[in-house]
Amino acid sequence: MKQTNYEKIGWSIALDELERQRLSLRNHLLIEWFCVAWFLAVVGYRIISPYVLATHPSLRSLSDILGKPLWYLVIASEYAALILAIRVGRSDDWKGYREAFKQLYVENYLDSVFAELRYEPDQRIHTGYVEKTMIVPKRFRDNWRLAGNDYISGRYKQTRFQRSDLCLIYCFGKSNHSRKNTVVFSGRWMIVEFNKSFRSKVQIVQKGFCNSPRKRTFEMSDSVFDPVEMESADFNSRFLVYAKNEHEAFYLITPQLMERLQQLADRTGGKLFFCFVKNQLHIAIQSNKDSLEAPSVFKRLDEAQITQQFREEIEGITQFIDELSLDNNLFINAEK
Amino acid sequence: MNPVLIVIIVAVVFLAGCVISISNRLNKARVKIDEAGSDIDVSLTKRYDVLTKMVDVVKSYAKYEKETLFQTIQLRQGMTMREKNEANRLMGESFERIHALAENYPELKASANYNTLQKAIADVEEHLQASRRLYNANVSRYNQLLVTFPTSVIAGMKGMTREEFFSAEETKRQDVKMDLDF
Repeated sequence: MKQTNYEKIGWSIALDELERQRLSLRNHLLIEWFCVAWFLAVVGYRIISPYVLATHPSLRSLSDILGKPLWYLVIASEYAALILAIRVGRSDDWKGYREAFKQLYVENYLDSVFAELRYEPDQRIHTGYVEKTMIVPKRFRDNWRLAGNDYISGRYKQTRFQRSDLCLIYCFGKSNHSRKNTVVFSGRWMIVEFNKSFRSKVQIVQKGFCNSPRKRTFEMSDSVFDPVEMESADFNSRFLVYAKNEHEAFYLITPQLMERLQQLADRTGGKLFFCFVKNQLHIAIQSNKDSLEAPSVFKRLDEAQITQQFREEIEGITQFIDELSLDNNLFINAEK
Repeated sequence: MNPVLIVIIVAVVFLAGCVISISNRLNKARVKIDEAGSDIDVSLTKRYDVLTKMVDVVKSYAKYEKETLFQTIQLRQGMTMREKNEANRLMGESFERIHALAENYPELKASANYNTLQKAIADVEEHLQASRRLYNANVSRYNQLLVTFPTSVIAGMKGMTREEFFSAEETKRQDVKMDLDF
């Protein structure tokens, strides 16, 4: 692993800077919450107290207890708290902290692992790529959209890849009033390039992948692909294979690959989806988690913990290339 | 209408439906085997073509008779699986002979033509392996149907018999053994 820019200038400086930003953000949040709580408490009292005092004449109002000057001060503080909460809430502290974390730490960490790195925290893999995998059933083709972030492209060993966090959202309902969005996939999406172009698409879907609307494993009933049964009963019990051409499926999914996919499925937290499209292999991991994000602002930044978290998330990319031997002759993109 | 007659008619219709369904299933399995068999034919033809090209390249470097490198292999339509197995085995032997010969001719080994053909062979053999696995998977499913009740009864009536597997070459089997040793 090569030395990161941060290691060159001193990791502690970066960590100190981020810690300072975190503390500032945390204090702002605490002030905001306190102000909101104070405002709600005073407003609540002013709404409820007339009714309570009317039904319980023996009770004294707060204005009587505090005296008029002090009571006016409380009312003034109510409006001051509201103004302060709005001002603090509109500050760009959170955005600044997130950007600083991603640019100062994530990018430098990634740069130490991958060559030809391009990191765009607010971008995602292009819709056209995902569309090509035909993951979306026909009946949703006009009613789906993607959201995502943390786009990374680069080269690991000799393999070119791109990845991002993605959410696949289906829109149900015909009218605007009854339309309801459902997240059917949330996790990491990776595209690996290789030097062969395959004639037809092949999909490998782990059973349980995709939160399909009717809790069915994976809606392929209206797919253009045919189901293919491989020779391994173990593999068939865990994965579904769809292809237009059976031969192509058997050509790509060798017994070794089947074994490795099963091992990866054991090791990876989420359900897996693979699709061979032309000269690309798409890998989707349904982790239901937004990766490469800054830890909670209420927790002190812990170098060891962050490094460990990042290592695990980056292994999500490297382990697929290593385990599936995507850097072997078949998969290396010779033109790059 | 007599209730007994209704029950008999329903039972007969149900049985006829089952027989048709099972028969269709067996026919589909049979068709899948035939399709996979033609896939093997395509792969064998490709392998044969690469082999003949390779023999031509070798002959230009080493003065060998074609027959010493290349045993008579005849590919024709309608070959039985045993004949396909035999043709595949002979091609495997010819390839081994050519590889062994290339070891003694560094110029041949370094030539661009030879290297291109080597890559083509690797690709063709990968496709042949895929065809073999696809064919054997279909044969396995078909043979299972032949011995499972009630499909075995219908298969017996239709005179369907077990299909032969397309076996891996001896050298390939040895490769697998070596892999397992690691």
